[in-house]
Amino acid sequence: MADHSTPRREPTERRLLRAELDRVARRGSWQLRKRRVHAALPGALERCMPLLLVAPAGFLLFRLLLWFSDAEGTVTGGWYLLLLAMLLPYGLAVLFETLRCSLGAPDASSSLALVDTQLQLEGRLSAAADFIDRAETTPFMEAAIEDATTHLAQARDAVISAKAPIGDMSSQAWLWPVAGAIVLVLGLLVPAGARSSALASSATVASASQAIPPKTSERADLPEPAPPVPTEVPTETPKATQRKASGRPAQDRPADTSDSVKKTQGKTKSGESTDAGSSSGGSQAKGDPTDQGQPAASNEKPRRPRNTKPKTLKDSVETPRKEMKDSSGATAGRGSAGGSNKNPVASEWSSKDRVPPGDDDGADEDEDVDDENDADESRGGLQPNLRDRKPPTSRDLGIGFGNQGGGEGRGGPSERKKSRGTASLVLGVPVPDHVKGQINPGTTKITQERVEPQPDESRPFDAAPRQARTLPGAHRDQLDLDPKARDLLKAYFLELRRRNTKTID
Amino acid sequence: MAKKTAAKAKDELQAFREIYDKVKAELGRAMVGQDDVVDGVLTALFAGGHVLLEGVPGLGKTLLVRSLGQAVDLPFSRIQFTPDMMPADIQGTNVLVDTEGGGHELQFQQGPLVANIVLADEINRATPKTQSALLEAMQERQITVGRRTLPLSEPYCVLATQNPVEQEGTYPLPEAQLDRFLMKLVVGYPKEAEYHQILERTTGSSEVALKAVTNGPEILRLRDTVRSVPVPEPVQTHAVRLVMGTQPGSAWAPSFVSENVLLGASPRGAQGLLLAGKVRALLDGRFSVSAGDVRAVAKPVLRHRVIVNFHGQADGISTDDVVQRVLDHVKAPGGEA
Repeated sequence: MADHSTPRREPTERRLLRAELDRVARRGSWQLRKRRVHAALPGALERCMPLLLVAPAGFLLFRLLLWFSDAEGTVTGGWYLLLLAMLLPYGLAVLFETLRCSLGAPDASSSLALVDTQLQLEGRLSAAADFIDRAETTPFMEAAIEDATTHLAQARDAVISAKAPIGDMSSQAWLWPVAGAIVLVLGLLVPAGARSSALASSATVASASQAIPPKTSERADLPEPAPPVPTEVPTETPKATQRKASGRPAQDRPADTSDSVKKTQGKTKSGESTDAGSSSGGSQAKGDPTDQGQPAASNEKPRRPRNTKPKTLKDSVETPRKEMKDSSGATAGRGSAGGSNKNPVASEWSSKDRVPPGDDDGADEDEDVDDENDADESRGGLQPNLRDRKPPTSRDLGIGFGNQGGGEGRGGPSERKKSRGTASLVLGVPVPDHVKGQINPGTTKITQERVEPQPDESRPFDAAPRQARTLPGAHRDQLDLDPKARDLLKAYFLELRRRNTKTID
Repeated sequence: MAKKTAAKAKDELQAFREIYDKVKAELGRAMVGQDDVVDGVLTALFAGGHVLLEGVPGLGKTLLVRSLGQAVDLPFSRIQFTPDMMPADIQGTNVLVDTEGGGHELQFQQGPLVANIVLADEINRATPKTQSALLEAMQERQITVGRRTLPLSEPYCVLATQNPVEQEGTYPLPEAQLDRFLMKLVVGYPKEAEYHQILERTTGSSEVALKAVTNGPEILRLRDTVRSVPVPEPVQTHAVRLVMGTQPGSAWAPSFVSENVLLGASPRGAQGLLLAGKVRALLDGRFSVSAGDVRAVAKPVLRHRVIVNFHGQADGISTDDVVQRVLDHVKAPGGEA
């Protein structure tokens, strides 16, 4: 590239131009400072926010100190002093921060750049200020300086009043003044004066309220307390009389509750009362020994409370069926299947319209319900249990070395077949898969024995030269002969054979 | 003396603007709309760089480049890249030819890469081997075939195209090679009014014949003019800070860049900013580059040099978003955006 450097301008021109640019730069620097302050203000406000918490925290601590130390004291000056204590540090800190950012004069290039932007000169003045100080300039630099000179007059006379936008503070910064207000309120809520005097005053109030009796009219308005529930004394039975004779005081017996109470609690079976008992009389006094030689109820297993819900569908089916029988008296269509446990027809759907399912209120979840048996019975017959399903019997012939491989083959004993079909319903007897007796091995029996090859000695054979052939030669391809020659040849060989046969014999 | 040199600069600037306007006007006879793309292509041509055009098919990319070749009177070649293309297909190869006297000799037949204006269509469909052959030509301005090295004549400008859809089975250009393109221009759909003009021009009986308004030597001279434009130090500092702003972890990078950018622009990005800014300054009638020029060309120059990481991709952040954030963060000299 050709060297386009040119000598610098005349010093006088240079100085004048420099002075003009500096004058414009000074005008711009003031605006730049203002912009810097405006730019720094949000940051300063945000950074000094924690100071708003100092005075309220101090006030709260002061009040708490007075409270716990039982000292008397108040803050003089009131609200004004408190607000002043809050805002003064904050204001001073903000002022200090903003002034700190505005300290130091901005450089001329930045100021000129601001002027360029305000006057939309596209950086002409700042470029000229940069090029004018260079030792060597190119034609384009000179042209740039000359171009900037034409706009200096505009920059000199124009009013540079750049509006500096103030930035926004973060929303989290406002938590500090809110916290300060909260702390201040807390401090105000702390009671003024000593804590002991406050407690004494509160105790006086409490005792005074207790000493005043209620008025009669008020007493009448008070609801009467609920009367105690009367407990029934159980009627004496002959067993009870016998027990008395045994010497056990009656009052030692546990008080029995009434039947109605017990019924609601579900502690009795339907149709029974607390007085009902076996002939042995041991059921009434549970846990108490008797002299009748009957086993006490305590020795027996505790009965489970009866489940009001029907255990099985069978029960639910039977009960409404019986009811229907009683009501209508018709039996057509039911047959022997009515009420049978193995009724294949009986199902949940068929009994749906007859017996509503019982409530689960009294259901005891601890009971062992054999759902599988119920399902089997409802479907009729023993159903295969897929849970412990065994693999099917192998149908291999069972040919293996040493009968390995576990092929059981056809026949032979196998496990009991599952009962299926109506046959099982009719007989109700498991049908075995085989008849016990002598096992018939069959007409054939295949065995296989592995024989290892054994070495064997053999006589050595000495090779001998081949002897001449004595017998006629081997078969040869038939020649194409005419019939007479063929007959002649055939006769020849036959004669030859005849002769050889004679020789052998 | 200074006035003479200043006058010379003014003449050069005036000549530049005239030729630029002529070429643009000639291209406007064939191309409808796409002013930004045309300006970008011409900027790259006069700045001495290459262009990566990205757009769906049917938007006139090939027409633009072909028209440019006609307008500047430079040899134009078009290469349609396919996955089975070999470097010899574009560089050239030795072929056996008959000589006088019945002999044979190997003669080098030049490939389509040997031209001044090269349109590389769907460069991402070529294999990396073929891409590297093209990129050697772009960077070194020469091609190497065996032991033969052929310098390419200036001005040399490669305009590569890339389809933003149908990326299956393609070989995306690696970042190191994307960096060789001065600008990446996104070709968009035309406006409704432009559709009517396009249809009138392309479906009618008349054909537009372009004429050459400049030539190669003139373009080389204008390239010298572009490089003569000075850059003030604050503007150069601003360009450097913009490039550094795209690099995660640098002092000028906002937190957005550190979170979402994997790789920022290299010093080639700063070179591109200044070269493209110089062209823009000349077009604006100024003799020096301003911060506004640099900021105006920041997106086309930097968008293909920034790689967004997975976090940014998951959030749908584009490279244009990254460049815009950097522009917002790095203030121009004087505090003005």
